[in-house]
Amino acid sequence: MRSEVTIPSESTRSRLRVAITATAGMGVLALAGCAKDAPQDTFQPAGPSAQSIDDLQRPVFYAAGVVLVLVTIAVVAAVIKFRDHGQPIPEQGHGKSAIEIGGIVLSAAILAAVAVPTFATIFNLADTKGCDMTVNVTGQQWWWEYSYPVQPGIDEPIVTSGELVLPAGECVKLRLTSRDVIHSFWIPRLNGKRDAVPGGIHIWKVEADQPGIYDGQCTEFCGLSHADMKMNVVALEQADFATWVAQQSQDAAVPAADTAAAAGQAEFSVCASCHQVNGAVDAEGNPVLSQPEGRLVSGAAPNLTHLMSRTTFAGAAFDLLTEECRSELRNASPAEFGALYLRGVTEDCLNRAELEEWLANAPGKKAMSPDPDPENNNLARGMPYLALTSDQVDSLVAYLLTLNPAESGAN
Amino acid sequence: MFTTGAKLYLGLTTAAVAALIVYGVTQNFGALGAVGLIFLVLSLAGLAAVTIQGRDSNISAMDTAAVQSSAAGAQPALDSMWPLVGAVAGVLLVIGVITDRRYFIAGVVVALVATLEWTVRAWSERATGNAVANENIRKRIAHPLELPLAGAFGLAAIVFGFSRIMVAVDKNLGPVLFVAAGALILSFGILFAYRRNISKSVVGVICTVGALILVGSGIAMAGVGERDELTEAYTDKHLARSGEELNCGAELDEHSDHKASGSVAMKSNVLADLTLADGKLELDQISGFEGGGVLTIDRGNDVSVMFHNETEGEYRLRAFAGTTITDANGTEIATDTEYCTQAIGEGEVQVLTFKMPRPSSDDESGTYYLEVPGVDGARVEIVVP
Repeated sequence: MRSEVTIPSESTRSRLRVAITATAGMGVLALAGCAKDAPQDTFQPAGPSAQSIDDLQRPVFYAAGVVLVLVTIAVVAAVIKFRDHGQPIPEQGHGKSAIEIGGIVLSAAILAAVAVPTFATIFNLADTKGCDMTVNVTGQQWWWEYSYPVQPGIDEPIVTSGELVLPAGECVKLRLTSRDVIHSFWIPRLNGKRDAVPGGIHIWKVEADQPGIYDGQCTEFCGLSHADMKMNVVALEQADFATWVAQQSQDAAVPAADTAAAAGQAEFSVCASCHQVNGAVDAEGNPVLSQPEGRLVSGAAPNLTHLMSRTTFAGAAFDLLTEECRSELRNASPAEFGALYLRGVTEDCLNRAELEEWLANAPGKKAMSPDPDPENNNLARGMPYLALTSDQVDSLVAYLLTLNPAESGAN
Repeated sequence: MFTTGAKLYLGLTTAAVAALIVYGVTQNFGALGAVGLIFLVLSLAGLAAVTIQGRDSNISAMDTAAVQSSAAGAQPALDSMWPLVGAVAGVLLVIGVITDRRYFIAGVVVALVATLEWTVRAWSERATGNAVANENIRKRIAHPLELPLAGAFGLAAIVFGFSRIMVAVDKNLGPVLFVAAGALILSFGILFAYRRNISKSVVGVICTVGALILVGSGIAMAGVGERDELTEAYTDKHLARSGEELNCGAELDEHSDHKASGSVAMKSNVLADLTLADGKLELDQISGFEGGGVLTIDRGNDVSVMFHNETEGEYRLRAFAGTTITDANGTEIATDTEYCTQAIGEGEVQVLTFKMPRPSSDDESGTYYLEVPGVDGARVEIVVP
């Protein structure tokens, strides 16, 4: 006896497809929230501003979740209860005033309840009273520059990039701008985001409760390497920050003669057309000044004077530290963090492979437009391919390793 | 099997894939173009999938016999100007390829408009068996796009025409014309409002004649060009940023400084306010930053400062960005690099936007600074790290 096989109708198959697609979509959304190593997590505030955002968004998020569940239940119940199963079309009306007015009043009340603390938080986030320190933050394709004007505790202007170093527990005022296109500065664990607009200055603030590294990301699409335009905030204890300022105020050390580093410094003359190293002098003893304005759309390239005092390079896209040293630094206790950070990148901890790959073929490692653009005054965006030999790369790495104020004893 | 909508989107998807392949082969898969085309392919494929799944939201579309026997199927197409407009677009494209890219862009725009309009018209003519209903359907679809665009185009023509008139006539005559035009428009508005019996055609003729006079005058004035003060200020390079032949001294320029605009729209986002008062230049940096009375500026970055003149007399603000004396061959290649505002009277304001491309240590003649020429001691130092 043959068993009968029931073939589902077309409408059943269609419903099945919709159900599978919806379930898969919701599953993907749910899985997207399960990342374990997520340093840019706005739900893990590490400063007063981020905490005030968290205090606002959590209740709103929960309330919205309850509303979502209630509305979904109501919609599903209505769809099931009133689905077409051959019944006559019910009497048509023009709605129920009580439900409509009630819905409007309830929605307005919820929105008003959300609006009051939202506006209060927005104004609090913009309030920079009590921020004694000021740092200029400038975005350009595809890296961030930080300059520290002369102010109490900083006797000489400091220019650095990639990592914004701050004293922990102190509110720092940021003056944001851009050299080329609009960027947006965002350290999720410290504060919300603020645009950096060419020709304008936007004020923002950050404060970290504890020493450590806080990751961020440009959040305004700004061209090819927008996704690789990252940044870090490094918070140090007050004393460690003073040490960092002292280190950064020094000129770069001059390598000893007849060393690989000295050979690398000679090779660096190509790089020096864009990258400034404070204290570098030419054969006649004159200061070597970079001229990025003649090659780059932004007119600027990262100042490399103390490159090895940072943990990243190329717009914080790549690590200067090996995985082991990086892990040691990032997992250090607040008390130990400062000393570890201030020792900079030592030869043992240098992520040599990454740096060598970058020097050998930067455009191959990060999306850029390094060729002169005839429609833009023959200016380029990003670091070009320099056709360096492996020996030249080795020499350059040896020289760059000397750009560590903690090790070089720079003067 | 496949509905009409699905065939359209499948065809477009195929065309997009072909375009991607052609682009990839000829342009070596340049990043931006390839990304754009890949997204186009995915978008069109998604729409094709939706139309297949939803059968064009029209079950009767599957009934081929009914479609073919319907009145809409038998309705002959009406006369349409859009093929002709499409031909004009083709000519513009060809001319643009040969001569100027602006013609090419215009051709692309006209081609897009013609394609869209022709598509909507062709579709609406077969929407139902009723020609009047079809026309209403076309209007319902097309008017939300046509009317704002036509309005914007008309408004742009009027604004452009009026602006050409205003930059061509004497500076003192400009406000008079502005007031006269406004009064004329207001008068006709009142007339139309209170004389309801005026026929629509009369109103239409008056408005058309007014617009034609305005646009025609604008075209004529565009031919005449800008008034002398503007052209001479430009040729004097007073408004340029090159630094050459810039009048940044204490003396007043006949054209540029005469009735200079003394107010600005930009009230925020400047790095600092500089106020000339009691013979001194006071520095007030954004957000209350002290900075030791020194203005620190990032290298190679456009900055704007606001200059307030609170002193009797006309003064300008000058930014000195160093002097480069010689090049590698010993040839003098530049003198002072400077930027300045126009001279403004007491109580007036101007914004100065400038850039310091080189660090302070590169300057052979001293520090960078902001100053008011003609006022001793009215100076603020600039530091460029």
